[in-house]
Amino acid sequence: MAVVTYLEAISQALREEMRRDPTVFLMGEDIGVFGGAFKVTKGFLEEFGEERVIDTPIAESGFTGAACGAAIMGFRPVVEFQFADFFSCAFDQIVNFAAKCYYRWGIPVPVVFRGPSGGGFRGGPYHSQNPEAWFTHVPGLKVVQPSTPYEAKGLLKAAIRDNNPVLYFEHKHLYRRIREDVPEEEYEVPIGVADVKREGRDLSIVTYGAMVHASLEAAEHLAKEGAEVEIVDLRTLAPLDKACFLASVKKTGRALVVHEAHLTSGLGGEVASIIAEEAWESLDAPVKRIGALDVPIPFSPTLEDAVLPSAAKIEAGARWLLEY
Amino acid sequence: MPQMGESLSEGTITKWLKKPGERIERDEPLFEITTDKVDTEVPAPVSGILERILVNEGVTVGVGTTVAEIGDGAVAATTASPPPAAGAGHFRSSHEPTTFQRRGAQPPAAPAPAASSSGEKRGQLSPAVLSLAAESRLDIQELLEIPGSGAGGRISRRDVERYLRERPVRRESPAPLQRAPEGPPSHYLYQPEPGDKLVSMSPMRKQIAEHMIWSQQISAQVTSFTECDMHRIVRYRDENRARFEETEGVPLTFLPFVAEATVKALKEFPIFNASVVGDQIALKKHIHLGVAVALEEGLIVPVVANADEMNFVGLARAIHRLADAARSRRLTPADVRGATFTITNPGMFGGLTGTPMIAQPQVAILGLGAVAKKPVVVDDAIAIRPIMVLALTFDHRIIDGATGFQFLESIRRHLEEFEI
Repeated sequence: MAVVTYLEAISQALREEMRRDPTVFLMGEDIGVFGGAFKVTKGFLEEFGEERVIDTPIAESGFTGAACGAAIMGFRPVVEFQFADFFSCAFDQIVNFAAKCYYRWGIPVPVVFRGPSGGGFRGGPYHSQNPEAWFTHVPGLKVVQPSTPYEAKGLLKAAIRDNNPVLYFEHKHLYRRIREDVPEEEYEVPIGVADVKREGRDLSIVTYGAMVHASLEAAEHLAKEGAEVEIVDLRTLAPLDKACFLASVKKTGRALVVHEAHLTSGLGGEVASIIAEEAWESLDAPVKRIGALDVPIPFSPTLEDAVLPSAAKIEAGARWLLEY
Repeated sequence: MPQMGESLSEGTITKWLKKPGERIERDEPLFEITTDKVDTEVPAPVSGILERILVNEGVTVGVGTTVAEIGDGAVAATTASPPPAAGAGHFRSSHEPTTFQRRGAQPPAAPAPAASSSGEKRGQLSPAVLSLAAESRLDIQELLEIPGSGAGGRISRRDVERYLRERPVRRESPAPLQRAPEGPPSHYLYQPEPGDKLVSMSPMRKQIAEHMIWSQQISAQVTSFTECDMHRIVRYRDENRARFEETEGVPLTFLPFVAEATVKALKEFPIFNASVVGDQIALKKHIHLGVAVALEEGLIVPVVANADEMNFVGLARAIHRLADAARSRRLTPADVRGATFTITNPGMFGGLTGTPMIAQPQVAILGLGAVAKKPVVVDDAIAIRPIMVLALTFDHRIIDGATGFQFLESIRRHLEEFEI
């Protein structure tokens, strides 16, 4: 066991998979010589050479299409988008090609699209977004978002080994802030399985990504007042592990759905709907959602803090539900 | 929903004649309703703007339910909430309707301090609370008495759990002799089989069913019979039919003859024009004669008001007008209200006689059989006479057999000695 950061865990997964499987290779802007905008692939060029660590032009649609082609030909490309905000530049390749190729022609596309997502570090409107819901809406794509180093590594390995296109959202704010012991031996975190991060009987918070940590912080505060808050980390956003969060809500009778993405049409709406449909008779209070305000993410620190959800906002929402 | 007769508890809105936002004047028709007794238009009680319709077409609601709001137009259209869909009205509980209203539970953006006005959310019961109450067989009254710890006194699932843990063990309910209120044992009930055609009861049918069951339960009904020789009336009717219709404008039927004889008998025996009020008997000042009219979908009983003040022609006209209105569904609520005694005439469909049931809260009902020729003994000779069997059902709580026979005898005498 060694203590690693969330970012190091991602690097480890990539390195181990490239050593294990010669068909795994990387593409992306500045990932080679520069080692990646966030240094995830630092040292990779030296170890694996320029045929497996490919610097691309700033042309997302083009290199995404190239990666899909390579995947069809038997490779397992991992594409780094410098920011998840720029998934939209390759939207057509991801949504109309990668997602539908197997359905349409029976040809698997085992590609991983990595996207550093999320705000909280004054990145402004083009470098702070959480666009996962654009893709959870598309059949044929898997979408994951780890919240811890252990999961970052295990989920990335599972994504690389999966025969479907997987969007892998890694939250920038967690890169160097979150660290933990990660086993040195081989393991995977299976796609499609959520995890209970904290047990409680009074309220379920269903969340993922960076908001898992904000929710844990809120739960700590509330625990001092005697409230036992359960936290469900979805980990995989498509396909959703309904059974996990439904069991939690049936136990507690109260649900708070939290994500950093914008509230309107966010994944939280889907989760809330499933709870309303399938746990209705257990509900003791309305299902409440917390997400970012429906405005572009501001550059101004004061405004960004006002727009994004936080531990304090989650605590307030949880308190409202607990007192309902 | 207006009261359309004292026995009515609900009505169905069939049509709204105004849309929200439209102006309406006092007494202008606002909506149409159907009840088991009448179909009618309901006029607006005040002038103003129809701001909100609260009950949709096709929905049945209890008497006294607010079905729309008329105001000065200050309510913006955007605040209008959609009215309940058809059928929703059937989910009304018999409890205080306001107890279960759920409104305005919008989560505030920021955390709110505990609701300021206590009782505000007390009656709001979540699905979890209702599920738990059902599982634990808590009745609604007991449930509502549980102290609520939620915002505004709302009862939470945890409150119910605590109550169930802490409440004293309940006594086994005694009353082994009491009849189960839920309904008859299942072996008296029919389970539909494949091939059966199931037809829904109309509101009128359901109301009649309920009324008749109650009538049987709350009064002691016995029936007496007599035969009445109708030859004078038949002869008079045959001779005057055409002239009467020409001069009076209504056909000459047997019914007004019986009505007149009955009114005379009721004046002699006021106990038949009465109602039971606790341990008292209310003898009524006026005679309002209910006349049952068979319709395709059931039975309706329009009322000849103040029949005690009418002569024969007046009775004939009133009966004709009401029967006509009943068949063309133009009866007004006032037309079906307040009968003090009822005559029913199934004899017009043939048949010897029957045992009619009392329309509550009256105490007697007269049933007429068919007028049919029969051999009878007249002055020790056998004659052929048109005979009608009269059946009188009366409430034995306040009327004994002797009085019943005397009353029947009085009607018979008035009919047989008819003179105009």
